[in-house]
Amino acid sequence: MIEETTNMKRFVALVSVIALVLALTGCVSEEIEEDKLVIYTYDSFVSEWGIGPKIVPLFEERYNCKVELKAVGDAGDVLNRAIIEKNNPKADILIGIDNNSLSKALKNDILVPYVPETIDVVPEQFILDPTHHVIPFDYGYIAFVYDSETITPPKTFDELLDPKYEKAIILEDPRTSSPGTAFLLWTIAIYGENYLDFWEKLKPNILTITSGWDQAYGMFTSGEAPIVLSYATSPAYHVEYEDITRYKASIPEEGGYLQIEGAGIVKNCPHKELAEKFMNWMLTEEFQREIPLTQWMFPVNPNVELPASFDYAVKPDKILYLDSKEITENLDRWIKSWAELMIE
Amino acid sequence: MKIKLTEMKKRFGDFRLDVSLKVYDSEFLTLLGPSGCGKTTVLRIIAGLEHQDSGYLYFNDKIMDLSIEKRNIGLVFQDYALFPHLNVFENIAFGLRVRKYTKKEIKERVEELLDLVRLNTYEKRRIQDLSGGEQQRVALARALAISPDLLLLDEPLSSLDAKLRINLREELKKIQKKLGITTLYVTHDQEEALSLSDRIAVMFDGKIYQIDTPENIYHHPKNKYVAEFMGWNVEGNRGFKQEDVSIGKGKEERIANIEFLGREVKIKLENGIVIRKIREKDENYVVGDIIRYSVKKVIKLKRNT
Amino acid sequence: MKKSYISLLFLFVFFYLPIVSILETGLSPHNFSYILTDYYYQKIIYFTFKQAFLSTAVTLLVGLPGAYIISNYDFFGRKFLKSITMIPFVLPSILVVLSFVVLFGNNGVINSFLSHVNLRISFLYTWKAIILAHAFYNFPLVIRIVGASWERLSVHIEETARTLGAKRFFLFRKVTFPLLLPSILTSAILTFIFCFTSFAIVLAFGGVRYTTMEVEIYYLLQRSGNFNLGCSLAILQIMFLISLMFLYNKFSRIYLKEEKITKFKQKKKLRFSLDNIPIYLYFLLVFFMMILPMIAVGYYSLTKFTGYETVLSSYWYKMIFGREYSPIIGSVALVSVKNSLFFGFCTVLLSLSMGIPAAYLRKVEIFLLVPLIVSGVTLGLGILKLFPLGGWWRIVLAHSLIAYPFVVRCVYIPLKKLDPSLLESALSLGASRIYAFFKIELPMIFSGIIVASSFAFAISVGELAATYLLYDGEYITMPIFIYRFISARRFGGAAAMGVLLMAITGIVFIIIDRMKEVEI
Repeated sequence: MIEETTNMKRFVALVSVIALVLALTGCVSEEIEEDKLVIYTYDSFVSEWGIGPKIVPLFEERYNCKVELKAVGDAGDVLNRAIIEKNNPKADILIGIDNNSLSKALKNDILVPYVPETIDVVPEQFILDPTHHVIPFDYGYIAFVYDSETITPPKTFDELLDPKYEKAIILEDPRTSSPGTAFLLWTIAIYGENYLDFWEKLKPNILTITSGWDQAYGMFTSGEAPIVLSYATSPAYHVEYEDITRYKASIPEEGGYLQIEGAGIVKNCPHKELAEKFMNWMLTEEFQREIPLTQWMFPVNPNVELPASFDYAVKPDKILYLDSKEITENLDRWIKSWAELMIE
Repeated sequence: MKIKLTEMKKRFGDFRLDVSLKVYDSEFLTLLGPSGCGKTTVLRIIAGLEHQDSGYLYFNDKIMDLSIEKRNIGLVFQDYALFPHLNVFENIAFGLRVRKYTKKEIKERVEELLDLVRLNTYEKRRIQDLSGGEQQRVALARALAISPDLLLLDEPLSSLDAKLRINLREELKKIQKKLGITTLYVTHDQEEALSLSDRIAVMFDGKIYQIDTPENIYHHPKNKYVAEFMGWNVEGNRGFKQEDVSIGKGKEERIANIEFLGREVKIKLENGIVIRKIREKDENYVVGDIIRYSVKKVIKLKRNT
Repeated sequence: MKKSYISLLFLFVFFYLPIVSILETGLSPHNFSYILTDYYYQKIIYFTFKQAFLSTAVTLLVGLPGAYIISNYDFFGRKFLKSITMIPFVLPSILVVLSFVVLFGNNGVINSFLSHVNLRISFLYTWKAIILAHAFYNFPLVIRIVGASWERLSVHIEETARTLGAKRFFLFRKVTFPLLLPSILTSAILTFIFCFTSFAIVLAFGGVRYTTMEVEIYYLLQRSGNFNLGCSLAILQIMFLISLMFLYNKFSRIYLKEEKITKFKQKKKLRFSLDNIPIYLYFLLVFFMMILPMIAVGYYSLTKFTGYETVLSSYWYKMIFGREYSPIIGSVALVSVKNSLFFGFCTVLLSLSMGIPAAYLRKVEIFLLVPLIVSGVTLGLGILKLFPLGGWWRIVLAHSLIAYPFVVRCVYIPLKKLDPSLLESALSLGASRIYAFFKIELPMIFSGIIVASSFAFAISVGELAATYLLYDGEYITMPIFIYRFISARRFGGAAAMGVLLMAITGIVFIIIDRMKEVEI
């Protein structure tokens, strides 16, 4: 027992030392208020090859401040996080709201409208939000990106249902992913309320549905499936950096679906002035010219020259879209029915 | 059935078992000795639960080398080893079910045995609800149900209290005589051995020191060890029984301890000698008294061989 | 015991109050009827049960042979195997996710080998991965519980049965198996409950198509901020779990009441012979399931794909120990390590101060059963509702509430064995109650406290579900780090942090193992 008491004393001593050390190193992350801009965005935006690392130093230098770029997951997560933080917003800007998730953003009243001085440079058809809560910065068409060495793409949507594509397709979850939502709406644009029939028949051909584009595209390039739902501009990336032309994009005959991506200022955000400066700057050439080779989308600013590799991007002959009011009214219901169908 | 062990040897580390033994048909033979003397091992070898290193085992003059399941032996352990998930009826019926008796046959036989051990209404009872003595009787009934040729009992009464032990002892003896089944009994309690057995084999350190009837062993122990085990007083190589000491004349010694055993009294002297005598009417010895004693009958004992 | 009432009060405020707040919002018949009649939710509830059931079946399939081997044979490394069976109690499930991804993913170790022969396994995106991961995680539990029971099976019972004529199969069917049934059922229900409330594994491998109630509650909160429906679903889950808990209680009582057999089973020496080939195959299986994943994770942490080839590199370790800001988690990687250690430490203090007094209560059983019915997400949800303004201490609270029933269990067992006359002697000699506690009781239950602290620390450091709900995007912990990096497909980073987490967990595990027989 005496030995145990000595052991105990040693233990208590050890514990106190650890406690002291931990307390001194100040373990929990703290918020120091200084002039900075906090941006919430999605994973690929901040990755090493994304646009984040390019534009952050530019903005920091130009406006002499700090930019804290935070990836919170996929585009859907950006919105959700902002909604949760509604009463105590930590972010100033949300990047990753598109024409499909616009209605959710507006409905939850988490943004403030702002008209950037530079707004006029954007062509009419790309203004996704007439109320200017969300300002567009790039656009693209979603498409089937495929490995031309292993598979031929479907010419029509119906052909996608063919058994030859069994477990060949990677898709994204419309509840969390921006291209995912776009694809769901694409099928609705084509099939109307019969979209569920299409999806039912599509099931066996889906390898998996990921929560974000990052994951889906990563799986595609590592060869897990030969077709992925992505952007028509994706092949340009491989041409530019890898000198590979095997990955191609295909848009079926029925037409392509336009996706416009934007950013918005958070209501009651801590650094509003800096946020407004960012919005202005976002439409200038300094920002916009970084877009093609990092985001692999088309910049809304038409004055930016596109790289040669963009010749490999596909442009649809026919463009489909859904009325934004229609989306606002029905998206929740469409998604719910879709989820009901897809869940096992 | 008769049993023979010839030069049965087994080694565990430093311990060496070396026995030769004959058990006669229908006899009640007890292996008596302290724990660790090897008596349980002999039992287990006969049951087939352990194997000897060398030596032979004969059942009715035929070599026995069958597996446990085929030997047709009844076995009762000190902890009874009743099946906790079965009731009394099913415990007893177990061996019969193995042998694929019919439902009717099983029912008859189990009832017969319940009657034998006097537990007639206990069929549906759970094992956990039985007292120690009841459990022991169920264990016995279970062993006897299969009409074994041989009954092996490993200290079956050791975990019971004294009175119960004595009662069950009598019952056991009665049943054995009634059925006439060859029985091998293992115990460390010499009183038990003396009261139950036709013959006793006293064991120590892996060997049998003496095998004889209870009377002969008690009155004529062959060597020091057996004498001591039987409760004799041993001095050097001479020994005398506790009751062969008379008080009054002789050597002087102080009383160290007194045990009252009802009719008798056991007096232990400071020199270690134990005297056992019937209490006289106005006798009143007290610890610390000095008495005189003399030994009536002394036997010369052989050394431990 | 006044202390115990304080503990009870504490428990009530911080434990039941969160649950009560959930009840407050979620106890709406409208919601319940909605959930129970809605096709989507019916499917989810059905899948929750189905995967738990299948997982349990596979777990038993893998674990029972192990229980048989460990209790009937003696072999080199037997003690080690026995120690390993403690692992499910301290292993963070996120590490299972990581190992699976690293082993079975398309760029994983196994597929790299198989690609040479043009084969590929791709079950990682089906429910099979969930079942397998669960089995992988839980089978040591079965070995431990059933093995302990098998070992204690009275030798005499089996020997008697054999003298009565029972041959091997009859003996097993009529004697051994019925006697093992309580322990088998206990381990089965425990496994079922774990799989029912499993979070990390279902979250990672379920994707869109496979969700359980636990993950769905999380989604309801994260995707749509629908606290209302989330609470109702949580209550429904609790109700299901309560019935399971009753079952567990029933069986474990029988199992624990088994007589203390003095003579352990004689074990056969395992020799090299053809008969024993199935046993060797089993050892191989265990090796694959336990050792190989760890090696694979280690491999991933030490290599980097440069774009053309895979090279040995300390890049990932430099990254997690460096000062570089990682946008994937929004801070420097090392912060997550500091956070985890800090939270772990606080959890130990808090759960010890809650648990030790609680161990003195007579009705200890309630505390031991409670962790069965409240899942990580449910706890996080309750705390979120009660304390919406945030703070890192909420995480510590959640961890402590999850850990402290284990503390109670570890402390109450040696406490039970304590001879009351020791205490009485001290008091009669004039010692005050407090003094007697510190000088007499505490030293004797000290080893129990060490084990309790280790458990609490391991649980805290490895927890994902509640932490993920409460971390506010700010307080990154190691499991969250690993999960985010897996999602972002930066497996190297996840692996490096995973190795670190394994090391910490391993140390804890060794401490627990060194203390004498821990009774679970």
